[in-house]
Amino acid sequence: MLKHEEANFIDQLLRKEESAYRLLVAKNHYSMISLACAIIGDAYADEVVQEAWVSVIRALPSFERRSSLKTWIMRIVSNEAKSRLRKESRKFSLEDWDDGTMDDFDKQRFDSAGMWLSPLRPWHHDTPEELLEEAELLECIKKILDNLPSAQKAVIFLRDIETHTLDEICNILDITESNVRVLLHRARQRLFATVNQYQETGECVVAGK
Amino acid sequence: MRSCREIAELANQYIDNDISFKGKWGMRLHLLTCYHCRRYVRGLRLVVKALGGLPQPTVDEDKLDQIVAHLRSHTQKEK
Repeated sequence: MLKHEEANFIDQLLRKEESAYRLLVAKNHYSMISLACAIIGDAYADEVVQEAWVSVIRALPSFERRSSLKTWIMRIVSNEAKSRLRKESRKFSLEDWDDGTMDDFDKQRFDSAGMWLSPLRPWHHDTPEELLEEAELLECIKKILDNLPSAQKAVIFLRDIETHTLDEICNILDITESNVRVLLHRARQRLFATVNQYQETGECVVAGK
Repeated sequence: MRSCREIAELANQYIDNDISFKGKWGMRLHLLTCYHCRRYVRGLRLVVKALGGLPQPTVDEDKLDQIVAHLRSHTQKEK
């Protein structure tokens, strides 16, 4: 949404217009669910998002409009999810990024001089559409995403599915740019390695959580 | 001259254009002459674009009604 369109939209929401509420929910609800799932898991996601919606509506009059509405909403979800995690005595752990994903790919593919040890073979698919049309591969991609550690899952979701900028992701998750880069890198590496494996052998090999 | 492993390490930043001018040109020079890395970067871009094309669920009318009603009940309470 353009800035002035968004400003009008927010004003409609503040006037409690039904159509604006409906549009707000239609546009944001599943993004919020996905983010909550990434942080806290499926079991609590619905509850967390219900609470986040209430926070959104209550805080809307004091929204300073420094970020986009979406970024602001997602930050509320992230905070609610993390706070729920704390209650369950668990942390949204950035240690998730240190699961050695890159190390495996690195060891298998490059020699000690950093040259390709086993170079990649050509893929069967040339376009994103072709990739997504192959049902088994699509399922495979969904499985890998689902099995990512939560910090990696949240970042790749926000960056590659929701197309937030690096800055917005830092704001939403309250982590540094360099954390975002590392998490994104590891998540994408895992995704790439699995898709590549599928291209080579037709198998979907998903590492456990 | 960068090694192929270093290229793989920087590839994600490169495809996001989240890289210094110098870094970008270092990548480009390497990619000009290394078809293995070109294939790798192409594959990476493909996978990332595919993520952008994943089907996203939409809220059905009933769920929408439910959530909006829930929101209204909370704005009413303010008064």
